[in-house]
Amino acid sequence: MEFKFTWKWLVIAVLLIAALIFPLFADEFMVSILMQAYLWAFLAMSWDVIGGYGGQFSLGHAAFIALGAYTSTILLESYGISPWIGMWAAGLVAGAAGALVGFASLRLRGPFFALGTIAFAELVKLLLLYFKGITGGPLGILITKSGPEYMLFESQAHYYYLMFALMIAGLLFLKWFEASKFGIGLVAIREDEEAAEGVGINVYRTKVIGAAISAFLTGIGGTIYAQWIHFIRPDIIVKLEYSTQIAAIDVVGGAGTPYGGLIGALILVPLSLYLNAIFGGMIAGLSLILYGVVLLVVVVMVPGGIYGLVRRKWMSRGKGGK
Amino acid sequence: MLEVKDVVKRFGGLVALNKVSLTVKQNELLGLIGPNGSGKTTLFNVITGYYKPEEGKVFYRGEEITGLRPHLIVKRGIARTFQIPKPFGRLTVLENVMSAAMYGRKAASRTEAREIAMDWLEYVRLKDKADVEAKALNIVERKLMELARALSTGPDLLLLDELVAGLNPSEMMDVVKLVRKLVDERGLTIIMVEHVMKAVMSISDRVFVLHRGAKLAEGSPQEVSRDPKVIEAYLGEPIQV
Repeated sequence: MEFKFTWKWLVIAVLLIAALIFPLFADEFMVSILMQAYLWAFLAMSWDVIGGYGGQFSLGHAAFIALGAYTSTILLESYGISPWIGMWAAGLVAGAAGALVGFASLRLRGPFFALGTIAFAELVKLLLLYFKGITGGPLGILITKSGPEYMLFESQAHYYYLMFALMIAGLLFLKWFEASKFGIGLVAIREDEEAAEGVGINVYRTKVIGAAISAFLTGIGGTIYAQWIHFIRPDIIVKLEYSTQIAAIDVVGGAGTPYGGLIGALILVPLSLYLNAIFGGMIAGLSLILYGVVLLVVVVMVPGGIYGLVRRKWMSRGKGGK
Repeated sequence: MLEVKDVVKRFGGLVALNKVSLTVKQNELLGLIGPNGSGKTTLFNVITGYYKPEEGKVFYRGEEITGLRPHLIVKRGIARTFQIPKPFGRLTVLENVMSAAMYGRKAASRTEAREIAMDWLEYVRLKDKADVEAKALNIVERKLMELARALSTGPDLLLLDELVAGLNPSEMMDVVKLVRKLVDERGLTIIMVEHVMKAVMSISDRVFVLHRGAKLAEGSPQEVSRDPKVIEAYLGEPIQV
């Protein structure tokens, strides 16, 4: 037992150090890819709260990225408020919208909920285009400030560490969340709604709050995304492709687990970036097709995702050893 | 303790419960029997808030609880099990039972909930399965886990829906003894729906017979089992005591 304990922490320490010194040895391109994987891992973990633990398959999370990105960027460019503060406002705005989606989940089940969230994302896009005075309409907003006090950095390496910290925070949050009272309640509802009510869980409230938490985190991710890309526009953020990518990453990695988002992102993000670099100009909607196919294959062949597969193998090996 | 008054529940044209009235006294074990489709589970669903009755009222400790949502009824101190067990499949057995302690009447903290859950798991002799995923349990274990889960909400009144159906005779007698002990030693009040006559008749203080959504008979196990109406309802099967 003790051996296993130290062995586990040794692996974690080695991985941590490897990740931290990675930018010192790798070129900018590699750093950029891994950095994006961390960002998407965080977004997938945020999705996981409602999509994995809650079992509500949202395909509208790009809307929460956008709401977060716009909130902090408007605060930054129009009011000079640093995104270090603005990201919390971003989370709150996205979280409030998430609560609305949570209300929808009380009525809409399964595929109908997924369709509802797609419609919700389209609505958010239309609103962002409509309120030109605040959002810049189809032209979007360019971030003109600079300096770390505004969460703006010179090199990709800085962003790498920012995204890494974000991803680790997401991971720790989910570790805590899944063992928390609220987390157990949310999973109980996913597993059996009637029985959940039967042990005293307020199903309506839990679903709405679960969606709000998921959206809150995604909104914070939206701020970080905007700070990295320096430029936001409705049509480049509120894309079905992004919503699908978030869900696909989590499902491939292992939905409803703290590690699913990271595993999925480390595989899918580099893959899609390479594929887009090679074929991007030639085939429109390629990554959407990629995610569609990958999602289908995983759902049919490896339910539980890669993490679930590894864990099952691991556990059956452990049993065989005894 | 519990009073059901003239409850009517319809599903479209079908009258599932037709002016059913029933009272349960504190620390009593009431057996609720009746042929298939006589409305036993419907009555449970009305008491625990899963169905809203068209007419009639339900009182618990003198307060009306008709149509309250199920999670609020749990917090008043009424818990139930389901005819077909409803485990939270991908939670462990311990987490299943802990959820009830955390969300139930006591609203226990995680540490307290763990203790409460372990106590009840020990009571139903499922402690060694605590860290197993609930979906891996067999039917008997699922039923016992549901019992432990319902108990962990901290109820005074417990509604058991066909707890021993599907168990072999020796398992059945074990569980039946466990249920009786809850009344005698832990002071619970229990309503028990059961098809297995032997189980109900041997442990109930009183038996209530439903037939086609209405009361057919009520009384001690001996009285009920001799009642000609009851015998007829069960197609002439003599009921063993």
